[in-house]
Amino acid sequence: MKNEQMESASMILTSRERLLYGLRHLYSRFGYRPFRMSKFEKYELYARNRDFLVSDRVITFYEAGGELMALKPDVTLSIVRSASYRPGRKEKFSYQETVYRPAGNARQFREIMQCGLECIGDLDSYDEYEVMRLAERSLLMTEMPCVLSFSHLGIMNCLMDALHADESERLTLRKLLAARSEHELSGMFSSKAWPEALLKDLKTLLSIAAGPSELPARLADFGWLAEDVRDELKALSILYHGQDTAAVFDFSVSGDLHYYNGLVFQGFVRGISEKVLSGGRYDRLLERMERPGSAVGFAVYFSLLEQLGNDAEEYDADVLLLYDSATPLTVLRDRVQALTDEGRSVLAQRTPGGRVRITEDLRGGAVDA
Amino acid sequence: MLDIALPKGRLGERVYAMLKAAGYPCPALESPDRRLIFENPEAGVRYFWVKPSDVTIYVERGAADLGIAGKDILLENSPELYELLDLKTGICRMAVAGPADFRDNREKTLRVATKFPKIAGDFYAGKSRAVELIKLNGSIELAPILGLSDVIVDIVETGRTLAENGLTVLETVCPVSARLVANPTSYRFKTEEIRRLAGRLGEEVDHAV
Repeated sequence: MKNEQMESASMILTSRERLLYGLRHLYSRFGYRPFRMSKFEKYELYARNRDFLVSDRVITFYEAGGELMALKPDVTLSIVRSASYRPGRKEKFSYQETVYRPAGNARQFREIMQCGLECIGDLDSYDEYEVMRLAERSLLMTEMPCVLSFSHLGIMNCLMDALHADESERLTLRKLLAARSEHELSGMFSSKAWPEALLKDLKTLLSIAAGPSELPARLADFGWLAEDVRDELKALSILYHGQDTAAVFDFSVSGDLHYYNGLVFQGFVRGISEKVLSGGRYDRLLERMERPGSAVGFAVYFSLLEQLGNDAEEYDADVLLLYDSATPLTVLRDRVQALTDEGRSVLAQRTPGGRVRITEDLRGGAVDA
Repeated sequence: MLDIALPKGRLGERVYAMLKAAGYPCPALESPDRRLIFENPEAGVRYFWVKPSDVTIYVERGAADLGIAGKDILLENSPELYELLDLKTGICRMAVAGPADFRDNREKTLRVATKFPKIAGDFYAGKSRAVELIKLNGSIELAPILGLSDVIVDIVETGRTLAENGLTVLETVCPVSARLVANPTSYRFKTEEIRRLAGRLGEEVDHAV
């Protein structure tokens, strides 16, 4: 009976629901405990960390006591606030939550289903590797061609240090890199009289599409790259050695430097026009929230995955049972019961219509297939 | 197959000529009919004509892999796209214009009429100048003449329309030209095709300059 129930459950679940359950199962196998939270938080939490949010627009309301609240536009901030730090340990949480914010450049607010995980505490290279691998596996579960584009913010920081770029120049450089706008970068280097050799390095970085295990070798010639960044990438490359991977270095991938540091990544699935996953190491957020430890995690923008596959039913039902006032309702009841027991879906109607495989006419009391 | 959104009009025709010279012709597109989609499987391209201001929407939402958009549209809408190439055509500038005898009174909020409120807002924010932005959809030159605004921020090509309405360029905001833009997801799954096209088109641009 249990197996039968499982089987029928898997038949009626949409591909999106199956994926959601699959992800929950995947994360739990790696020790990530589900984290449930309220739909709203104090507005103050988001006001203080506005830059961390995908959009700074938040739906607010006053609680009965007069306190300004917000419908949750983000999950990570709530989890970070709840995590407790114990030296040498880490807390691992997974979540499936709805957040409320405008999507992309849209003006309207949307309910966005998001799932993901956060690993918070005393972290090492293995934790980064595990989270990045789980991000990859989350993408692979869509059963569509996918890419996990990754970078390390230390590379960008070292390059900007080598250029002695000020805050505003760093912001512009990040924007141009994110847009892969080599012509604008050339223009900027020329107007600032920055060294040609560094422009060449930057363009080389934009052209590198290597997996994590090959990356350290590809960065070997960049003399301005700090040893600690090399060491982190080396540790990741050792863990990735010999593993099949969908992770590809992409220097255009970035994150807000006030929150993120180190590894950053974004996931793309063929057929979906924007990134469906985003994550990385965000120790700086913890610092800003005056919490000890480190953190790494990611979010899957689940609502976007609706664009994949087609769960639309070809038919409204297998069988349309037509009946009228002359049809004994007990006959109708028994016929519906018999058909559903055979595993067919049934629609009992007084008039024809809709898309069905077969119509059975019980009108006038007759049974006429 | 690469899907490319071309802006309807002279700019689109000019860029198509560059794409054709770069090895991406589509004879069907050159025939005078009213179709909007044209395909050349041998060259691996499908072109479609769209309203210039809609190009970035088609590319951002993945209906097109690539598109040709003016820098003005990119700055105003900040779409999440890759800007791969400056095509150095459709060259003009975004400028502040007003009456030739205009004198900015810093004691007052400057009234600025524009089709590009984000570009104008960012420009004046960078100068810490208090402004009131008035969004118009056309005939911007009328605004200072009728006293609706003090100045305008608009695209200026030759300056003739401004001159004919007694206005002059007071300041340049930024240069504008046509750009080749790409959808980030398409770039990841059609990397080689897109890089090849951008490379060949880049050679055409260098050749034309």
